[in-house]
Amino acid sequence: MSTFVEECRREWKRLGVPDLIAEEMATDLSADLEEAEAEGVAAEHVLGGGASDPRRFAADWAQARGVVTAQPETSRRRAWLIAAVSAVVLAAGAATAIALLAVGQTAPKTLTAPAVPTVQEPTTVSVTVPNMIGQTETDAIAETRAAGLRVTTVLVSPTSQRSGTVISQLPAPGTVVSRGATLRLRIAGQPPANTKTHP
Amino acid sequence: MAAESRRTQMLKGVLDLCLLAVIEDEPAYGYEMTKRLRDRGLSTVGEGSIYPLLGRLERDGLVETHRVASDGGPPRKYYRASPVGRRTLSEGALAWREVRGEVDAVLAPVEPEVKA
Repeated sequence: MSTFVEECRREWKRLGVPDLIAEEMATDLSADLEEAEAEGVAAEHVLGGGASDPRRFAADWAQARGVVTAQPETSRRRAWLIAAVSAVVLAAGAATAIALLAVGQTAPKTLTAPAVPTVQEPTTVSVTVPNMIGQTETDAIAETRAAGLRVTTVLVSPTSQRSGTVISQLPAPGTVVSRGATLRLRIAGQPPANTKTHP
Repeated sequence: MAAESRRTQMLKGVLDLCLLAVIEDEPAYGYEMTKRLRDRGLSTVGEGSIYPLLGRLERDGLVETHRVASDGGPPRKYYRASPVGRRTLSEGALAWREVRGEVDAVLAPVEPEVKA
């Protein structure tokens, strides 16, 4: 299994994982695989489907830990595409403003064209679902949107949890989903009749 | 859907809870967690492995880690549930029981096929 760990090391190097972190991961993985082998347990039991694809395994692990620093090919293409689309939107917005001025109307404060997004360079189309449990509904909604997800809320009552806070969520924190996926939050509503409401 | 991949899909929603559950009281390193899961009754974790999941749990603050020197070997990384992780676990266990009950109710009349 030493070649498996070597392949992982190489992949982490390619992904720009900091040396110290890559070394730690390699050490832990080696030790786990050795122990499993000594107990007669197949590598698949430790690595799952990743046993046959060290590069994919290493990449998934590094991505999940958030330690990838090298920018993959696809994000450069995406960044170019966003820049191109933004330029078109800008042009369309400018054209609209000019057209309205020409008709003799004051340019509206907000253009009908959508706001030009800041050119971001996302490194991935997937999002790790954050943990919203215990947060206030307002904070949770803002954070969820900031994370690139949609959000729906359901009020649950009666409940002993503090009113207006998130009781539970689906998917669970840590789940990897696509950008734009929906995070469902269950918010504490009315407390039971015999408890005080918080101001 | 292939049996193995359905199992993987089903576990996707609860594997994090299972991991948190086996490190709720006593910290463990990676392979040790696999063994605890097996001992508690989870025979395999499906097609995935626990490492990326542990990475996400750590990133989201649901587990805390520390390194412990092992006899004669390099220091190993130990994981344990954080306070947030514990809360997530108990909420998650509640949600699981709800879903399990509902699905069981829907599937109750279904006769499982007996494999030849």
